[in-house]
Amino acid sequence: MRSLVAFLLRMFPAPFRRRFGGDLLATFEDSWRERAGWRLALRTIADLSACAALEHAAQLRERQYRRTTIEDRQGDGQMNGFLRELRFGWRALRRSPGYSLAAILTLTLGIGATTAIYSVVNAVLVKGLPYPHPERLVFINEAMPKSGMMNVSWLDFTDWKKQNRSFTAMAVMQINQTNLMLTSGPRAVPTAWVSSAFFELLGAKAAMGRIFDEQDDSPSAVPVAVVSYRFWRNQLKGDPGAIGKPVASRTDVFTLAGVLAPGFDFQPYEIDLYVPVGLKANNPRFGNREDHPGLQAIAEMREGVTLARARSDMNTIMQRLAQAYPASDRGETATVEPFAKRLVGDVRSELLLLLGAVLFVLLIACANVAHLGLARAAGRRREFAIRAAIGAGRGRLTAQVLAENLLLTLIGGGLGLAAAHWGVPVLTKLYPAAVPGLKDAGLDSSVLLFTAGVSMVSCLIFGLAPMLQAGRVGLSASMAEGMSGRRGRRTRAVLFVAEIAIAIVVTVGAGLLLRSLMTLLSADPGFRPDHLLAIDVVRGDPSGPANLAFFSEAIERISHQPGVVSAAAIMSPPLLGWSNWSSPFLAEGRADVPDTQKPWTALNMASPGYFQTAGIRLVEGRYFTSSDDAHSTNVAIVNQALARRVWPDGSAVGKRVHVKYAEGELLQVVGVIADVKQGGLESTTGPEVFVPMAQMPVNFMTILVRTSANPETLSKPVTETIHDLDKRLPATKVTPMMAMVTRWTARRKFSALLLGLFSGLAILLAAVGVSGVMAYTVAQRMREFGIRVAVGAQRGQVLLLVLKDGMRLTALGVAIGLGASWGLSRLLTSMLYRVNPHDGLTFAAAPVLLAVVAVVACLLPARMAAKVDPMRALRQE
Amino acid sequence: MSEHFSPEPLKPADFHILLALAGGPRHGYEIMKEAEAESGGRVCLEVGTLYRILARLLEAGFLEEAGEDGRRRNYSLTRAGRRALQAEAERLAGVVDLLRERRLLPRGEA
Repeated sequence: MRSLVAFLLRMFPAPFRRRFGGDLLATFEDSWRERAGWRLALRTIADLSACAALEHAAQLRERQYRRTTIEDRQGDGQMNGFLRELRFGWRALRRSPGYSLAAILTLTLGIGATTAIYSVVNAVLVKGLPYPHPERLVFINEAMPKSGMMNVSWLDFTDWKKQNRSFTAMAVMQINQTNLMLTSGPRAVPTAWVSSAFFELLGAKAAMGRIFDEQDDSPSAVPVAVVSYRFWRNQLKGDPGAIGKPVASRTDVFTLAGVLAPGFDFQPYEIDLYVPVGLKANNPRFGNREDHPGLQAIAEMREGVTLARARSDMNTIMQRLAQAYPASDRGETATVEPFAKRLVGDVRSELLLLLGAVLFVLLIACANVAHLGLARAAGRRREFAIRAAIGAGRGRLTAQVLAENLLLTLIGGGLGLAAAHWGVPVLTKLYPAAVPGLKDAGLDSSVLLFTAGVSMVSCLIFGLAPMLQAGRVGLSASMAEGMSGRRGRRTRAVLFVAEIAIAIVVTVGAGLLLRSLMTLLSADPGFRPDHLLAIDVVRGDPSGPANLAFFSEAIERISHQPGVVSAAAIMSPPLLGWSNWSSPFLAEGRADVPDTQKPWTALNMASPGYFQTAGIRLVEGRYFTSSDDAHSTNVAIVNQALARRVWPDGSAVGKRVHVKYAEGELLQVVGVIADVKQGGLESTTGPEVFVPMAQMPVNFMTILVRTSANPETLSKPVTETIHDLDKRLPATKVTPMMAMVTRWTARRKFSALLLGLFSGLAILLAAVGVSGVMAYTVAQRMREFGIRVAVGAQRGQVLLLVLKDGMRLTALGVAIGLGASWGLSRLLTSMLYRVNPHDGLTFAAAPVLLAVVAVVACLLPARMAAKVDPMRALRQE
Repeated sequence: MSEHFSPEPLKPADFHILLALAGGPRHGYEIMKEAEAESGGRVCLEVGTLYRILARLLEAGFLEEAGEDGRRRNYSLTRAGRRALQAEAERLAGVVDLLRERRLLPRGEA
């Protein structure tokens, strides 16, 4: 970083650099030592680039001022130097509208797209989560050797709180829904049962009333609740006297203690009701250390405590607990994970990838404008030479080109900002996932700083070559030198190769994402999602038999409705993203081990007919029937993942398996079904045990309806049937299963689409750029082509000559681009779904595509060359 | 433009830099830290901007170089700089009085 700053210092005017350079570097080293990071790096780069430009401008102004005071005070005396250059530049740009428009449009595209993506990056990654110390906040989970991450046992949590030395505070939360009775009718409200430290940890303040404290957080306390501002405004109609009134569900009554401030939200859950988790402390599930009743722990690390130290502290505690309570805790470990990783983890790499791609597009845009500028500078040789002849110095000519470039940058950057201003809301709206901070994306001061920096750097990149060119032309008396010289040709070749290479990199990235998307779209979810409607039903009634009767009756009534093929119920439907319940399991006859050492399985309840309705394939045995009820043997259907693991060599049917949290515990396997994607389309399927709903009734199930018509047309009659059965049921959520499938592919579609767009833009810009470079070269060599034709060359040969030139440069660009992609694509590994980062097809297709584009782009100038009129070409110059 | 009284309001960044130097000579990094702390994080200068302002204040005669510690120079206030700072402080105090009069600021709180 130090050497980068030293390099950037070279952009400053020499007097400033000599006087302050060393001090500046020392000061930078000090601040780097204290807060090293890419944020500081970015700010410093932007700051130094902007300052260098400003210093140059100031210096020019001063020089001009001195000169004008001596030489031509009488002219336009009140205009100071650089302002005059800008005015000149403005006139010059207006004289060549084609050039100006092309350059401005290209810059607007590049800077606008970059700014839009950076606004999102800034909101989600740079600003961080809206909590007091987001970098110190962590999630803590438990894990067992054969089960992966789990939620937390209440008693373990209370011990963590007492024994840890790494955290300032710890809180737990249990997120679920409460069916509240509101004046507008029953309503399912997202609820968090939280311990009192939760609010302090996340910096939540009350807008009205108070937040509950430790006294409220105990089983003997009067139940109180805190609601979100959104809930108070929408559901309580902004009632100013709401505090102290009751908020009731069918089983609980809470007194409203406070309303949270409008800005607070526990993203991405959008919780509306917060109640003290301590009210449940006497609950038998909370009293059982083995039980993990859906609790998530969060904590804030003390200042100076590293993640590694917090982890080792937690593991020491877990070892202590394992010794004290071997039955429940042996082998258990704790995982400590930063907030940012859990909440924006996957999105991070996606956004950085998009930012990288868009910066590449901007680079191509700069290369194009650079070439435009070079060609224009060459076209103005005569103008510059005349001005040099009548006394304009090298500095003056350079300053004028600088002024023109600054104007272009200013206009392009300004329009780019405007484009981003309109584009960002579209971008965040289209983004198909709830990401903390995303909603607040917009143009703020740090985005403006970024855009200013990016624009200045772009100005340097595209303006440097033409600027030097102008200076040289001004110096050299022989006007034939300059752009057409060897140096000019090399610059153009570099631009050509760079554009192709960068376009290859972006295209390979887009190609890999596209391949991942295709693979995912053709992935088999294990069931038939088309013509399938899912209705989530959560009943307030805890009684098992009543729930069984309700769901059986609902299925019966729905299946007789017109347009319905069949109906069934399942506790955790496919593609839900998680399983509601899990349990340790053991095949009958295997040596017993403590639960923490056993493998775990998802546990699911299904009505008879569920597998047929969902379209899940039976591998062996039988489906559930209505005779599998509370009075018959406890039976189970297992998935192939479990069957293969437990009985790899024989049939599973007829075997028996202990599933700890299933009713009856020892279950007879009657069937094996194909694996269903439970945890989302990209998940690998783990073991799953299904038991008949009649043998283990629950109060929340998803009713699946297989329809003959478009499933959405049935959503109204079906929900009406359900609500007729239970008038107190809150509004139910109805989703066509295809929408669930789409949800799991939406993010990939979005990033593949955006990257595809960038790659298209890159290819288009590269094609325009390459074509421009070739056209210029051809124009330079017209005389040569004229001579060739005059001495008998076929026109086809001339055409080939130009194409060959283009192809040579293209080949070089492709080679460099492929090399860079080979290295860079490994960074994408985490974002790819079953596609090798060095995927052969992508790496073969991208160069072919670019080569075709390059041939087409070179064809136009090549035909121009072939059509040369020897007589006219020879008369030129 | 050597020593002269500055009737113009100072820019916030200039003011905080002069304020940081009121306690004695400092080098660039100390100025940066102090200005940031004393402004409650509002004046957050990057190195380039810092030295551009220092250059301007030196030019205006508000600052002078005050020796070096081997790695970099220290700067201190000149009399003109101290006067400019005082003038700004008085101007701000006047504004505070005015705000209190108009009941936009509570009394007795600085």
